[in-house]
Amino acid sequence: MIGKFPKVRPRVYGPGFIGILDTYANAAVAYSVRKLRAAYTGSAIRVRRSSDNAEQDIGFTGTGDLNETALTTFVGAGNGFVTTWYDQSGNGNNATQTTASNQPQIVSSGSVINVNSKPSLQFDGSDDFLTLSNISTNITYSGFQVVKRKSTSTISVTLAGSSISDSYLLWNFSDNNAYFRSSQGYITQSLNTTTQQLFTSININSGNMSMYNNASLLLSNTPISLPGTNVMNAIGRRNANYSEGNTQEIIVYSSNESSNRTGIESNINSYYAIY
Amino acid sequence: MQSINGYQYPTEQDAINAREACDAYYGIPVSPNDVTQNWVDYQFAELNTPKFWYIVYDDSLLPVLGEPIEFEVITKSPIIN
Repeated sequence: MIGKFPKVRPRVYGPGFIGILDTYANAAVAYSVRKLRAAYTGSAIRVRRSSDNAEQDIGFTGTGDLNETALTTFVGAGNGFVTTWYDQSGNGNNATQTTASNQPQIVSSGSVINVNSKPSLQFDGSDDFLTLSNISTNITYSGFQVVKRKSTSTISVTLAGSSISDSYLLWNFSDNNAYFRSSQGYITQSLNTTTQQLFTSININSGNMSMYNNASLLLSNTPISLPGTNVMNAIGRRNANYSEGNTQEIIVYSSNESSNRTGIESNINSYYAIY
Repeated sequence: MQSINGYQYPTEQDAINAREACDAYYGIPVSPNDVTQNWVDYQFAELNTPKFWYIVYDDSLLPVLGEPIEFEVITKSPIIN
């Protein structure tokens, strides 16, 4: 067969894993208890166990769930705390906490802390938070978050800045209003929920801000003017105020994802079965 | 004003020393590559006069730092928006 080569059929894989970031790409940051992107080869979280304070990375199962077997095997009968929530976007903006007493919890007495049958990071409301580099969004950005506030008297804050005048994606506290603030100002609407929710925040440079609860519009409006900075560098803390409740996923795009919003929300809800 | 149960220090170095005592007691960091670098952190009561540094109590601190005390920390007004 001089000059000829046998035909080689390309190896065809099965349907394979397709994550939300494969369909809706180019996130600025992406934290989750599930795998979000097929090409992502890193871990989901790094965990410190209470028995001896050793740390270990915890990854995913073949179907993209958090590897709970590896997690509980490592932690044993004690408690497990998240030292790092890895950024799956590809931008390497991992969220970390170097102080043991400030680390959110994911295993309690040997059992994974679940919300609606999925693992969650539990923030204690007194000092738990994770820090990251300020996300490099444009003025226009879109945030999708799966969170649960503990009670109507406690705070729920997802991604926020450390200063009072910084931006945040969701601020929900004892006045039972949801607030969403950017450098443009803020919008607010009544939101009195303590159940697991998907909260969507979209800030558009043209002067419009929108927020959605479980894919239903809460408010879309021009913001109330309030001078501020385009800084978000913490999960679970805003200034000296701390979130009390659970967080399972935060995805932020440096773009207006209004046209993809329903698709992204459907993907998230298909996994977490929120509404 | 917020009532705190914890440990009060007149200088930042005193607070650092207390934090290092907790790290030594609990063997933090366990490994050089660990993310966790401290067992507990201190805070700054910048609005009090005189200013001071403090660590909020939890049960794990009792064998290292001893019995806590009650003191007042001046805090900023609650954030609304």
